[in-house]
Amino acid sequence: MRLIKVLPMLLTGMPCWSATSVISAPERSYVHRMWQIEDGLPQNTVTAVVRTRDGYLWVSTLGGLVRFDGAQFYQPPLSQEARGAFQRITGLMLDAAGTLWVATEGDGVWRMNARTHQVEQIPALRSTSVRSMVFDGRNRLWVATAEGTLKVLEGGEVRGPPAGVGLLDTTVLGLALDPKGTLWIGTGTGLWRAQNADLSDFERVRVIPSEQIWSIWPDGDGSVLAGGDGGHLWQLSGGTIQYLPEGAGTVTSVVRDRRGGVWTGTLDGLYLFTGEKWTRIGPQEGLEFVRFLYQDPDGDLWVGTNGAGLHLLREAAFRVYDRTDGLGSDQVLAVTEDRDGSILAGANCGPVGRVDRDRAEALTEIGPRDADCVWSLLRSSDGTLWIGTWGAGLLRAREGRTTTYGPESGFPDSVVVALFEDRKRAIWIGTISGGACRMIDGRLSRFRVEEGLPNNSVRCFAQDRGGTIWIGTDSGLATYRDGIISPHGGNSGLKSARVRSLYVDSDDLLWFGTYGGGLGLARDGRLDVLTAANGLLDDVVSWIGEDRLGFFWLTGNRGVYRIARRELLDYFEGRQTGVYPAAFGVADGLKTIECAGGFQPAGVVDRAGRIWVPTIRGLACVDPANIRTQRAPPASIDSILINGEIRREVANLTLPAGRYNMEFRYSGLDLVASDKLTFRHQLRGVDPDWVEAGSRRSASYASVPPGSYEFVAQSHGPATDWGMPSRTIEISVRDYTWKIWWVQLTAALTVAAAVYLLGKGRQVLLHRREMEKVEAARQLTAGILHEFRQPLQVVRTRLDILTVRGLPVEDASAALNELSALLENLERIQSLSDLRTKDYAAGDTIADLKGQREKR
Amino acid sequence: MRRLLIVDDDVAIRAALKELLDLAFAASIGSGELLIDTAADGEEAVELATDHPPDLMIMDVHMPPGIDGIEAFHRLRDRRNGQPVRTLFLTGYGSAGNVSERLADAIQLGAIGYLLKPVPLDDLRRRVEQALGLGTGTSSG
Repeated sequence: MRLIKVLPMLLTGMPCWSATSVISAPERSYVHRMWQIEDGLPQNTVTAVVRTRDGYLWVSTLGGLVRFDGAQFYQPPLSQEARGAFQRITGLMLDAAGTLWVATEGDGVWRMNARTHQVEQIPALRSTSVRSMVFDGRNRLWVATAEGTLKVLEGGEVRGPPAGVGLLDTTVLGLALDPKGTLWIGTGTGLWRAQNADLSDFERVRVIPSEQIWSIWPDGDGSVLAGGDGGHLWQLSGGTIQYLPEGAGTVTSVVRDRRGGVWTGTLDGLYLFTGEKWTRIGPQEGLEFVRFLYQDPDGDLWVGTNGAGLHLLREAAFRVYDRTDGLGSDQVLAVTEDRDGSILAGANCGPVGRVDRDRAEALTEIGPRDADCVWSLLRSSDGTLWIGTWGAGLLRAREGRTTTYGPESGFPDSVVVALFEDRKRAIWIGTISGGACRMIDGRLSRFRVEEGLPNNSVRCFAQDRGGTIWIGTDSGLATYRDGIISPHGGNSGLKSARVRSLYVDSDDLLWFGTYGGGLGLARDGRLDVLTAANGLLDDVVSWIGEDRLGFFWLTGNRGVYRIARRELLDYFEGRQTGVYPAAFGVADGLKTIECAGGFQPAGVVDRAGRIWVPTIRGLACVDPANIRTQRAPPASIDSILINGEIRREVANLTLPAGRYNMEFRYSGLDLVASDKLTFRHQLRGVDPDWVEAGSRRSASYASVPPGSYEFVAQSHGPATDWGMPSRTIEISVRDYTWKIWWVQLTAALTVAAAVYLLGKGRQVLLHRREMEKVEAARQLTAGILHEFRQPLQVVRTRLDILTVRGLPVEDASAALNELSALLENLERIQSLSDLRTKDYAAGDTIADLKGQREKR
Repeated sequence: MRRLLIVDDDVAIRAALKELLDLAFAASIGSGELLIDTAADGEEAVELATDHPPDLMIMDVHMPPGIDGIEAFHRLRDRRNGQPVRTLFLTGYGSAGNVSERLADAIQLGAIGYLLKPVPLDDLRRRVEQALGLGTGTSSG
């Protein structure tokens, strides 16, 4: 029998999580992360970055080369010579086959197998100081040396340009190859190019002055961006020049992002040009002396700095507007869409704000006094702006005039927390303690507990297709139809009846969110709920919305999340036992996960399909269509420990006979939100199913016996499904020699005789033990039967009494028939317990026992 | 007047059996002609049956923690100088352990038989009629 126990996690290097922040730029936000020595980076000056095809990021620093998986920096073991050379890396690059190439200062060019970490120095380039290198379409390596020479590595041999080519007269600072095969060369005397990367056909680009060109970005359309001294950025198509803000200094690196924005790294920091203006990005976050920029295959921007570590900027799914953008307050409450498509936002103790085409402003001319807070907003179909406040009642703003409805004018409450317009253009007003009001044509009707409301605190309204108005209160739901308020019959069954949100979906189903009782669905007179116990992120549901992709969006105290509507219906219709929300957080651009709620509207889906939700740190907006893949990154097995010996080369293994302690170390290659990943793993042959590992990144097995095994791991992100499984590692532990069949056969024949001789005596012993076991089982069976028979006697007698009384004879007879069937089963069990020990012998089967019984 | 004694440690069974037998024999014996007593354990049964010997005792076998029904039968028989009380045993245990052997001994000494719980009304009625001389049921042990 196998005895395998999963050991506690043993990690030589614990994951490190750097701080995540959000940086706002024009029309977009970026999630920013930074890693420095404290986070595991060997050194704070980062000289190059490249991402290999397996998803790892390779980072060179003045302290050496490391591999990064989003959580841990791993320094591969290297020869002393390579270790020394890799302290002075000037460039990293991949060839067409995915091999990692490393350029150094003084030690030439090296080639590295990113999987096995085997390195090899290129003999023909030994001792070269490399300033820049690039592969062309024919997989030739172009190398610019610190001395200003240009070399080409082809077939293991190095060639230089033909004699007489003027390039040799100047310093080469940078190289780039465009998709059409033109090689661009930045030099100390301007920009040069070689059509078709032909060494004999160099020409200087005359439109650019003879100044130092340090950085080149070839666009796919033939245009080229070239960065020079003094903050000059040239765009070659059309010969335009952009001047960076004064003081930016030399443009060390330039990248055009997928939205067309131009990023430039300079000696003075990072700048973004979005077509209108330059914006300096992240000076407070340490982005000052930028050595280079690297845009990875996912479009994420990596920034290497001089002394300030490694930085990452990923465009965030959410854009958050706050005071810094022009809103009057960071604490946003009610939010609604205006008639022109702009978004209006109420604030906690501040003016109403507006966001229109990425511009935010505070509308100081409308709204309550400063001390009053806007808890509800509605632009009704007649153009009136209705403002519900905490303390100043209801305001009606139209055509420059504002009318106030408060207790002093007979309005029932000074706190208005919900506003809604029904299809008859009646305005519904929910108050904190004065019930609900309905205003139509200037006439106000009031509904309170006396009129049928479950509670006078009214938080939200909705209207279904039949015209019924649904009202959410602190004591459950009510409906309004034909002038009558009716409390819902299912309110008493709710764990929390404090209704905070209502939503009638595209199929006319009414959904409701509660404070503490989860998400509910009202159907067929019933109120069913889904809570955190079945996968809901939060039992507080402040807002419910639906996007165009089939997802419900929910907010609460624990953030914004979405769940497929199909999944919710599957739960409520009993087809699945839980739901799996995709949650969004700071790594997605939110400045906090805590959303505001308790009022209506607490969120809106605008006409463009974007989701707007109020948070306590700004108004957040997300376009569901722009959310990146919902699939977690693939898991990767980094190393295997066999009996404590580490094997970095992760490959299938065949081990000699024996028992082994095995540890598998794996990671998920999410370079931004790696700390949010959870994992599961399985060692097939040992684990019958996946083992949920949480955030643990290793799996240990003790004393694994001979056999065939397969190990696989998988990761799961907060807003994703399970990702691709890792590669499967097959491990075969050979069987012991004595377990080979012919050895076993020989041994068996040898032992057979001795076994035969011992057999008789052993049989006697076994028989006695067997009889003891049978008697114990018989006693147990009889005891169980007794426990059945006692209550059955009462049931039976009571049924007999009914029969004797004659009422109701049919029911009693049916029950007696059922009882008779049960009794027959009991009799079958009884037939076994009635056997006596002496009636049978060791080895008897059940059939034998029954036979004995029948004979008796 | 006929006297029955029902002995069972389960109060629900005692009450239900009493009600059933009252109903079942009210017509054949006549109102006021059948007196049914109950006892909750073996000791109480011995005392009651000593003071007021029943025409039939319907007694559970297993009644912890006191003496069981078979022991009560023997003690009563001893008190009556070897004269047994007509006793019908009820048991939920079947014949586990040495119960069946002891029941067989008791039947040899004058008990009229035993029935397995839950007891069908027809079986019970037949045994009672037989014991009280009300019908022509067949004997079985």
